[in-house]
Amino acid sequence: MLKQTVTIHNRYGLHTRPATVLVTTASQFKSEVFITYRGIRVNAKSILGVLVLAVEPNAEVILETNGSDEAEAMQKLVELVEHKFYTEE
Amino acid sequence: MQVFTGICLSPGVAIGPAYRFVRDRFVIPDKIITTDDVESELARFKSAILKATAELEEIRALLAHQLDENHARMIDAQLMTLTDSDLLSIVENSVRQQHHNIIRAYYEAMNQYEALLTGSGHSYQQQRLVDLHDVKRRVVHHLSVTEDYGAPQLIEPAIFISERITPSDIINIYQQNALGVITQQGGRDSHAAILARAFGLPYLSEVADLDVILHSQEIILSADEGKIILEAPVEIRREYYRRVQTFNRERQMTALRTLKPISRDNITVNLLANVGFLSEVEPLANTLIGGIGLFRTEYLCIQNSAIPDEEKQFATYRAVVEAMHGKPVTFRTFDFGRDKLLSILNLSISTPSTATMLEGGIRFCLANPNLLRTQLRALLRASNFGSVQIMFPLVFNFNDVVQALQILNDVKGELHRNGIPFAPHLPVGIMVETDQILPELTRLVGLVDFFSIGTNDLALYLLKTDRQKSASNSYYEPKLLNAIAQILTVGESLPQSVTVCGEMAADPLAALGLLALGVRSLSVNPIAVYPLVRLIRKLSMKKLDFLRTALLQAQTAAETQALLKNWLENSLKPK
Repeated sequence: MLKQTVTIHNRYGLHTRPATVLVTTASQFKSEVFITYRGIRVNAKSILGVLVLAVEPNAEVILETNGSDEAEAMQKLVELVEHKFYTEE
Repeated sequence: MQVFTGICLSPGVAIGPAYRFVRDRFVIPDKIITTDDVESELARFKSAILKATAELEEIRALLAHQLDENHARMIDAQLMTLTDSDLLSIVENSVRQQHHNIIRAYYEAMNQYEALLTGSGHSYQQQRLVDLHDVKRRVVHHLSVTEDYGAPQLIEPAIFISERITPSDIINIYQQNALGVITQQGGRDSHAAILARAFGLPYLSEVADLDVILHSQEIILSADEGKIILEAPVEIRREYYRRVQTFNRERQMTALRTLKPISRDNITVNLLANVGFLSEVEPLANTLIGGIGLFRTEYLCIQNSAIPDEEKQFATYRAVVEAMHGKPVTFRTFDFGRDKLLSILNLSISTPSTATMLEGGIRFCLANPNLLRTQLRALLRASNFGSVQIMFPLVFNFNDVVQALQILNDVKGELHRNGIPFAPHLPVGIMVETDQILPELTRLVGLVDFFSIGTNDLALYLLKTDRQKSASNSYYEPKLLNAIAQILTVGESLPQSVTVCGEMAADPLAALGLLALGVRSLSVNPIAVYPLVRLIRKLSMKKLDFLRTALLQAQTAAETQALLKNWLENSLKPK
C-alpha cells in the first residue's frame, strides 16, 4: 500500500469537474484508491464519495493506493493533482 | 403595472406568455419486500439506471452539438453518479439485507449523500445538489412509472417558470424555443445558469411570486435589470419590445459567429444570405454563413433612382466581395419588370415590347443589351477583388441562356483586349423560376455552373396561381416539391450544388421539406439565417430520407404540410 499527502490547488477545490477527472482516472486502475480529507476516508472511484468530501482550495488530502498497480496509480494521481486535474489553464 | 424583482443569472430581455412547469412529486413506498422479490427488484433497478443513462447521454450529446464539449462535461458527474459503485452497493445491501423496496433503498441512499453534501457548507458544492437531486428524481421516475421522465414541453415560445430548473430542462426548453427562464431557486454557478448564459436565454432567479406572475397574459422579463413587469402600459411595452428586438438581433449575430449550420449527423448545409445593399453585407462578414447566395443588383437602382454607371456599379460590387473576404457572392443581374422598378426609374431605354416588360428578368436585359454589358463589365472587374458569381434571372428557355452567355463572352473578350484583369473562370448560373425552363435544364449541363431555385416565381408559373395570393400556401404543393426534386436531379451534374434562394427557404417548415428533398444549399434574408441554423442543428439528415419518399408520394398540400409538421414535432421530443 502507498500513501502520499498532496495539496489541491484548484481554484474551487475538488469541485465537480476535477472530481470527475479524479474518479475517472482512479477507476482505470485495478488497485483500490482512497482519498482522505479531515479524517474522512472515501473510495476515490466513487464520484459521490469524492464530492461529499468537499475538499477546499489549498487543502491537504491523503491519497492511498493498494493493489497490483498501486505505484503506477499513485504516480498518475499525483501528476493529476499537480496539474490541477488539467481543468484550469 | 406590477413589477417583481429577482437576481439576474443570465442577461437579456424577453416578452411572452408563461409556461408553468411543475415536476411530478414522486411517492416513496415503504413496503417491505419478500426474499423472492429481491432479484426482480434489483433487475428493475438495473433497467432504470440504463434508461436514465441513455437519457443523460442523449442530453450530453445535444449539449456537445449545440454548444461544445466543455459544456457537455457538466453532465458527466450526473452520469457517473448513476453508476457509482459505492452507491450501487449501498442500494443493493439495503434491498438484500433489509428488504427495502428498490425505490426506498435508492431514495434513502441518495438522501444520505445529499445530506452529507449539504453539511459540507461549501457554497460551490451546494450548487451541485441540484444536479444530484435531478439524478435521484430521474431514477426514481423510471422505477415508478413507465412513461418518460417528466420533461418540460413547450407548445409555443414562452417564458419557462418553475421552482427550479435542471441542466437537462435548459437544453430541452432551448430546443423548444423558450424565450427566458424565471425560477424561485437557482445560483449563478449552477449548471443551469451556466447553460442559460451559453444559450443566451435570459434567466431571473430568486423570484418569489411565481403564482401571480403566471396569471399574467404577457410577461416582460428584463433580466438585465433584474425585473419582471406585468400589465405594463402601452408606451413601456413598446420600449421593451424594442429592447427585445435589439437583444435578439445581437444574440443571433453572436450565435452566427460560432454556430455552424451542421446537422446532428454532421452534414453541413451551405447557408447563404439574400441581400440588396452593401450595408447588409457588413454584419454578415464575420459570421459562419457560406456567402451571399443572392445579391439583388437592381436595388442599386433604387438607391440611386437610376441605373448607376459602370464605375459606380464596380465600386459597389468590389466593396461587397471585399467585405465577404473571399466567400462567394452571387450577383443576380438586373431583374426588372416584375418588381415594377422601371416605373420609378424614368429610364431612357430602347422601346421594349409590353411582353418583355412583363417578363422582366434576363429577357428585359437581352432586349437592352447595353445595360447588361455595362453590368457584366462592372461585375467582371470586381471579380479581380473577391469571389464573384453571376446569375441570370427568369430564363424561359435554352436560348435565353445561350444569348446571355454570348454577351458575357463578348464582354470578357473586350476586357481581355483592353488588358483589364478579371477572374477567368468565374462561376455562372441561372435562376430556375419558370416552368418553361424545366424540360430544358439537362441541355444546360456543361453550359452553366449552378442552378438557383426561385421558389415564389416557380410556384406561380407551375401552379398558375395569382401573385396576390399568399405564396406560402404553395410551398407544400406536391407539384412544386416534385419540380424541385427534378431540378436537384439534373443539378447533380453541375459543378455546384443547387441552391434554393426563394422565400420558401426562409420558412422553417418549408425549409425542412427542402432539406428532406436533398437541398443542401439555402439562401435566405439575413434575419432568417439564425432560425435555419437552429433548425438544421436539430435534425438528423440521414433520417430525412423517409420524409422525402413520403413527400414525393403525397397527393395534396395539406398532406405534405401535415407530414412536415409531424416530423418537426417528433424531432423535438424532449429527453
